[in-house]
Amino acid sequence: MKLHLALPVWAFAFLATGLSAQTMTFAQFTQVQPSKKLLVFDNDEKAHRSIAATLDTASVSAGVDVDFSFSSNLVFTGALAALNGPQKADFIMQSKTDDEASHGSHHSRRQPIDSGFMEFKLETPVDGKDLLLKVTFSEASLFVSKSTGLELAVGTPLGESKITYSSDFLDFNTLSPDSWAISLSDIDPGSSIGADGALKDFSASASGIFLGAATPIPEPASSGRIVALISFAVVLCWKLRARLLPAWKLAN
Amino acid sequence: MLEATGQAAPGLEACQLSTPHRLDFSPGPLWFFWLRPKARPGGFKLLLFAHLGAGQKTVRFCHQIVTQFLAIRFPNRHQVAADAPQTGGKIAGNMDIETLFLPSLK
Repeated sequence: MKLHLALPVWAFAFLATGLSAQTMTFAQFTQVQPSKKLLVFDNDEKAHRSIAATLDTASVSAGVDVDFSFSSNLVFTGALAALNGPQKADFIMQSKTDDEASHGSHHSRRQPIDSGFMEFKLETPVDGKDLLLKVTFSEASLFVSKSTGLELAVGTPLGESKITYSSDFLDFNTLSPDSWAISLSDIDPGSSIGADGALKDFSASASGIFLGAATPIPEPASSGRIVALISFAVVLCWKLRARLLPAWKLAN
Repeated sequence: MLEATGQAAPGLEACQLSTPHRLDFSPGPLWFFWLRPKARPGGFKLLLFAHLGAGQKTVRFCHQIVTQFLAIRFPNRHQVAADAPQTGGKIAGNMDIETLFLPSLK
């Protein structure tokens, strides 16, 4: 293959590798202490005022302890190999709503959550980095029934992004239909709707999953090799410009 | 689908509250997770969160998928009933199933 034809093929192959990730459950978290309440729903419930409620982790400064793990389909190598398997992490979530809850069937209730974020940080950084995952979202739904529930947000495949992922260790295909879900249990006290129309205060245990198209970032050594390869290609093109330029002029 | 779910499922015996799992059906996804109620040692509850528009037949089909998954994931519980009721009931001696219908999924 001619060099001036081969270079675009290399570039395409390189880019395609990064875009080929499939939508999957790429990460999950579980509680370190099953009996601990990770999440707190706090409703101001002030009469004659608009709804102002939050769903946060029990601590929004230091976070709460969770076991976080990336999917075993994501294989980290080299300096990032320590990321394979469960990680001790600090989990912070802050979210808010000013919407009323609605009654569903079977004693269920739906509380819209307007917007928020979740952040998972390594307790022990790997390769000097600690951001396992950050999720910003809007239009999530919290479904509760008695002492159990499910919060979820579902993105659309048409690029209308309600969920945005970022990480020190993963790249994301932003065209993927992302979604996430958190299971809630031991809701205490049992879920009910307050005078202002939103759910009353409660705390709950939680664990969750994140779906999207993720790939591990190239490890530092790989990045070095890629830079070296690109540098080599640039130098090669420069050296062969005398042959390439006439061919390009002829083609145009 | 069952295989994919099996890969994602944590050990039922080891967890008090599992992570959620997603099964994709038309017209909407089905979410489910497991609970191990403290009040019933050895007992488990399976919670399904089904799209309201899924319809009774689809929900029943979801139950069949999940009960098949249980039978595969926990072969010693092969007595898992195929006639899981539409919205709740026992699917094995110490397993309960409960379905919540989601009013909407945007």
